[in-house]
Amino acid sequence: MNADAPPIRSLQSGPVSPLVLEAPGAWRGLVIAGIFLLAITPALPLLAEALTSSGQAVMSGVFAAAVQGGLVIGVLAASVALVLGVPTGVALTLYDFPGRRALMVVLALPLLLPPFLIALGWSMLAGGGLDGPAGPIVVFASWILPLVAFATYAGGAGLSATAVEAARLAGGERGAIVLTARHAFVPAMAAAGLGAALSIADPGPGQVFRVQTAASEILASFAALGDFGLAARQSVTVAAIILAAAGPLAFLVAPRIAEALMARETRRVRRARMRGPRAAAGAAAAVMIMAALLTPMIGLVSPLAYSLVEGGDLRWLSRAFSELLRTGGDTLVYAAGAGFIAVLLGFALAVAVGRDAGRRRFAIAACLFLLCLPPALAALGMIQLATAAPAWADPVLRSRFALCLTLGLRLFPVAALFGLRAQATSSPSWTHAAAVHGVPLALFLKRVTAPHLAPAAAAAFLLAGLLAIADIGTALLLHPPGAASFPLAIFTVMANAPEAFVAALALVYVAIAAMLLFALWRLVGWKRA
Amino acid sequence: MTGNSGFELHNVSKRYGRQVVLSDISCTLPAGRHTALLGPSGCGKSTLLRLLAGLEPPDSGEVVQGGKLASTPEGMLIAPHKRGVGMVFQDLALWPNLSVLDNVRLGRSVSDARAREALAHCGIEPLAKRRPGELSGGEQQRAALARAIAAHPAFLFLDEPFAGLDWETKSALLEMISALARETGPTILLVSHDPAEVLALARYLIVLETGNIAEEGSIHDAINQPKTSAARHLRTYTLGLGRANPQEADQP
Amino acid sequence: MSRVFLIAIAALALVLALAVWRPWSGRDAGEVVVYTSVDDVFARPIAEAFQKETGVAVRLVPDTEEAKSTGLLNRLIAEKNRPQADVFWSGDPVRAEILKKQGVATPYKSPQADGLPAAFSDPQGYWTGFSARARVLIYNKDRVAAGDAPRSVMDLVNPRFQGRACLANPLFGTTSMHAAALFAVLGEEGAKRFFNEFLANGGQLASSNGDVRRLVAEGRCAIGVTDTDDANVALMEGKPIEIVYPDADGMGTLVIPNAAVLIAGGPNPENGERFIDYLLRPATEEALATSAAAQFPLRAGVAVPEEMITLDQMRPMEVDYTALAGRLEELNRGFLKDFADRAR
Repeated sequence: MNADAPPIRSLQSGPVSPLVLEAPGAWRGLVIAGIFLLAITPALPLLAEALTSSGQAVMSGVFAAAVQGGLVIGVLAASVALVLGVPTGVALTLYDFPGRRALMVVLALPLLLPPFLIALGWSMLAGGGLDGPAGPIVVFASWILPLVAFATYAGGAGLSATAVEAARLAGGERGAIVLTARHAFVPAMAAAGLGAALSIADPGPGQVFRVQTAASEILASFAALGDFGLAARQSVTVAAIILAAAGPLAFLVAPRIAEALMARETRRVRRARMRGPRAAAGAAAAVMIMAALLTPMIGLVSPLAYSLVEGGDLRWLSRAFSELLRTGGDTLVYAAGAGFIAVLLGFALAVAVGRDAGRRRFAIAACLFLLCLPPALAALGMIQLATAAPAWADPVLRSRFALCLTLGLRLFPVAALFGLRAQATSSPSWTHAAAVHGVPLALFLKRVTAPHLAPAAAAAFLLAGLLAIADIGTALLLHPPGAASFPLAIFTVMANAPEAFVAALALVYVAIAAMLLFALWRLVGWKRA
Repeated sequence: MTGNSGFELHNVSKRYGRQVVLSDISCTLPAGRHTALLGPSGCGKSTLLRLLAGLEPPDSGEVVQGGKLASTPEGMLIAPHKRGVGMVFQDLALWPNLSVLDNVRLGRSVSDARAREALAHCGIEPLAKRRPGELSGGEQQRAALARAIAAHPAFLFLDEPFAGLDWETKSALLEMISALARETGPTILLVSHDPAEVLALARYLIVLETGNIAEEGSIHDAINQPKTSAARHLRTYTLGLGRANPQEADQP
Repeated sequence: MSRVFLIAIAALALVLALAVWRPWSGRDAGEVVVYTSVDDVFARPIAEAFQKETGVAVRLVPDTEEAKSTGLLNRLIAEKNRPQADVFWSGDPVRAEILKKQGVATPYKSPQADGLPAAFSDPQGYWTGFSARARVLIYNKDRVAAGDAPRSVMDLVNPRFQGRACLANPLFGTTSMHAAALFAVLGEEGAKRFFNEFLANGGQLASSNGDVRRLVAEGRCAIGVTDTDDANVALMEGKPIEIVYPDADGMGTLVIPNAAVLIAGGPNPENGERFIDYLLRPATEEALATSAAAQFPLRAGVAVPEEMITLDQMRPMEVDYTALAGRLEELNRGFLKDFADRAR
């Protein structure tokens, strides 16, 4: 950020003025290009192979059908999540009802679980009842729903209390609800799109419910055919298709996001307390949503409960705890490291993008593209880079840091979306005021920009960290020997381990993660999350 | 609409956390009596407006409209949008994601024609398709006003609606509102610190100080025998006007 | 706010510093890095016993369940020029053979290999087979009467199990090896006919052998083909299943030996050899036989649990394991991929 626009520096003889943050400058393009280049670097070896190698045609009929299947599942799951998640988010914004906090905690749970485990939980309960596209749709919907609900909630939090009051005055409760939903719809759509993109890159639930998706085809190319070139070509094809579908949407949505979050002094929406039958209805709805999200957990944990009741057998729980002790520290390192890198890059990108609509659209489109690439692309590329590099680079390329870096680079688009949003809520007059009072850039960044972005950064850190440790494929390929993460341990152990043991592992993992999340939440404050 | 009959407050109190904003207030706001709410910042003026509009329940006491119980600490018996109240909020409360026209049509009861009529009335019909972010400060204020009057409310609550406006725009808007009050007759309840606005729109005055009613009566009386600093300020202002234009000072 | 913020930044920077610091040192003589495709629950106790006995720390990297990820094999191949692993303990000879073909393995003839039958090892010494699993039929006792029990893999296409038979996706894991073996034994035509008839008979494609176990145990399928360890786990959990060693009077049961592979240019070659020596000892075969893995020893004379079916009690399918890998590659890209696509 040292390369600033020359005219501004020439006006000032002292330190760099914070005005560079509002002015155009070559540094913006450089920073944006640098970040995206860095993000795509691990995937470059395989992308290069994809473009240069010739081989099996990408768009065979089977692959086309699989892509279609994956897209349909992603879109339907996102739609279901929208239909349920937006009202949930609106209710969380506008009302206090019995079970509200419990609902918020439970909403965070699916994000902790890799979709594969959610799928397993459902399939244990439903038997074959969910085989086919229904299964992955249910799984991904319950996984995307929290994203949508929280995005709606965050969008509502950017709304002023008087705006809601004006709506109540004009159209009553119904008006307030409809308008709040409409207001939050753009961020909710963005969250649903994000979830759909991530789901399309995830082969797990498709495997469990025996549905052929684009992701499972790519996995087959990687794992069964060993044809990395084909896998890479398929990945790029899928990403391009998603981009072609989502690109125009992102193009339309990007300026709206900025506008919906115009800078203004707002009084936070005061939640109305529900009473009487309404409170009961609210509580009932909350319970239903919670039940839907907890159902797969019940499926996962039931074998353990069975063994506990049957023989009072605590062996599996204690073994699960020893697995946790073995891997817990490294897991935290991966989550925190990946979250940190993601937030660093994402927010740097947001600052560099600034308020320009064109740059904003480009950034959002590029972020979506990156998210659609399967994680294996970057992970295998990273291994190849590390193998080609000299041994002294090992502390960076073959350490826990390497895994943090790869996950951080994969998930930085998630943080970038948070950053862009937070950036849009800052007022240009802040920088103007700072410039008038001669506040240097560094101090401005520290005193104004950083604290302003901090809550969003904390949320992005949490989400990126959670998504990072749920990414099993990358962890398997890149973790240093002996430094597995806990979810990875669950995955490696679950082959042929007794069901009760897997259940104990899942239970311990979710319980610990939920406790940590809850503690962090309390630390940062309920309001911000 | 429950409409044209006025409001009564009976022993109303309101707290935010530990801070008592209104303590045991009783007063009446009959239809047709244009009233100004005065008092120092943070004395509870805006809260009083929100209690009357039904946006918040009182902690104790009750709000009565047209002889019917409207709000109690247990909740709303008359919903906000059934009270015949239009309101211009201090921060205007325009929805940034909606066009001006959609902002005016916020309530479903407002037809397209009525909304356009209100926009025309406020002189911003050509801007109907724009979003609030694309308007100047004065235009935003007009949009908020158009929204408040579009449903032809029985009461028009104005919460410092003209803060930060240039004198020309402000006087044009004041002119327009008082004309509106004369024609279709919404009863105005104005919160303001500006004597000019108070004098232009209100005939009656309630002064709040630290959550209590410190003074209440016609503006004429208050200027002649001010009891509070707010009323004295008003008096000083009219006397100042008097030096420049004695005729106006006689007829506030 | 600002202080909390700075503390948070400092803490995270510390985390990253911690991440850069390697928890082990590759040049430390006191350890060995073992990648394994054997299930974690079976491999870890062996690794821990080795560590206890020799004092050499084992860093075990197990694979995720088949078909759920890109897998360790790709990691090994990608790391070929500067490997992190010393040993690959493969659950089947096909992966070992792939490593040999890719130039990732190096030959090692262990002194402990005495008594292991040569048919189950690479003649050039790139991989050595020991304790084995078998590909078995399982059937649900509630859904199949004892008299109707399947006896041959061919029963998967028998009309009496129409719509009730399952097989794991043959693109992955030991099922792919089984498919290659069927092509070797039945011939191109015979094998293709088998797979096509499986579909025509309404057979279900499961995502993995563990999935086959679940489907049969829950009664959603009547019969299926899986590995002995999967079947044994289901038995131990009290599921209503029965195991059949198929084709005892025909082509025989496919035996899947473990394969120990020394990685070429690994960081701790001596310890790698020590670990392989340990794996190949009769005591390890015995431990694997008595554990839940229920792997039968390839050596004669190793003590085993009474009920265990050993190599001399079954009719092993006669296949050239080194040839299977090459065949598999071609099949995976051709017929089997097509078969898996048609099965959906």
